[in-house]
Amino acid sequence: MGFRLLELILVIIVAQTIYGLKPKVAPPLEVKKKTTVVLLNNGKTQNSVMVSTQKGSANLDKIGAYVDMKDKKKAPPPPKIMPEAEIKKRFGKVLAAAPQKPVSFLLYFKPHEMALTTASQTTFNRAIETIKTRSLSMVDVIGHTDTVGSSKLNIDVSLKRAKYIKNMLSSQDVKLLALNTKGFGEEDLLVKTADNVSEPLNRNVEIYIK
Amino acid sequence: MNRIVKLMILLGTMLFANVGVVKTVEGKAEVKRAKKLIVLKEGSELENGDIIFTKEKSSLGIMFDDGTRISLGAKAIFVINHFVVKPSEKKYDVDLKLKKGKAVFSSGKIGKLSPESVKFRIPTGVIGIRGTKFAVEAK
Repeated sequence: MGFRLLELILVIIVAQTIYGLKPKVAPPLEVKKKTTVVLLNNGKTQNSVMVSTQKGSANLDKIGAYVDMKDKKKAPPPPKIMPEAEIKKRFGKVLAAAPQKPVSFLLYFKPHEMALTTASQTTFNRAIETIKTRSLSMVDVIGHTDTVGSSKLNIDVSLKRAKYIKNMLSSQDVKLLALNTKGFGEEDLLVKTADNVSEPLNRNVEIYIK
Repeated sequence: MNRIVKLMILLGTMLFANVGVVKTVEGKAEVKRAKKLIVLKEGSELENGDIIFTKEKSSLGIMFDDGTRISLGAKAIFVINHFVVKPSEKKYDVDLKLKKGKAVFSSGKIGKLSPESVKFRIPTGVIGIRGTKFAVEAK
């Protein structure tokens, strides 16, 4: 997982409780709602959210930072920190219902050849083992390229490699909910570069198990 | 004429393509789609426009197409307005709404590719994801 250095995964908890009494006769009084937003640990350095009402915003950038809001016409209050025990108490059940985190495996090809390097063949086998141990998964086979050449050409090349890996996966004895190929081309570069930069690390196929 | 047909197919796939899958269910959860209520099970596919309801003592875990995960607690109402993450076409539009209940959100590929395209609506406003900033110089 060290590959996904820049991946930003952030976790937000939103809780909302409604209180106040509904009137029995019209016109209805406005029901006051309380909404709580908490930033959770995602195991990454980049993790923050901006909570906005009609009147202002609050930036949550520390783990456990939260705001309670009751009125969309008022700015959110300054964030406070929610202790871990309270997070667990209020959101433990919801956290437990979250699906397993997706995992990625990156495969590299031999130069000028539609064949995996020896190391990547081993990685491929590890990906298969992972699929077998997880609950029924959806798998994306995503072709990535570097930024040399046209965007269209790069997507074509990345799709070709992705289809090659898809066929390898199909020939294995694994049950999947879905298996799709995608050509990201120059989007989602592993190593960020400017246009027209040859970067072998970016020419890969990712097996994204979700 | 051909162009119109293509556009209609494109619109059709945008409107009806499945955008996520139910991965975990405890108790009972339903989706309201085209004025019908459908019971959700593990493996149920979700679409743009779906309104999801969880019952008492229930929970639900959703895996979206880009790896974004959302779990809902009991008695939640959650709306998938749009979930479009298409890197090859550079189309990103994630618009979700929690009307009631508890939810946990963990971003998938969208968090890296286009965090500014994420809107998570709540009754008092909207939550936005802050993006990764970087600069590049190539000589």
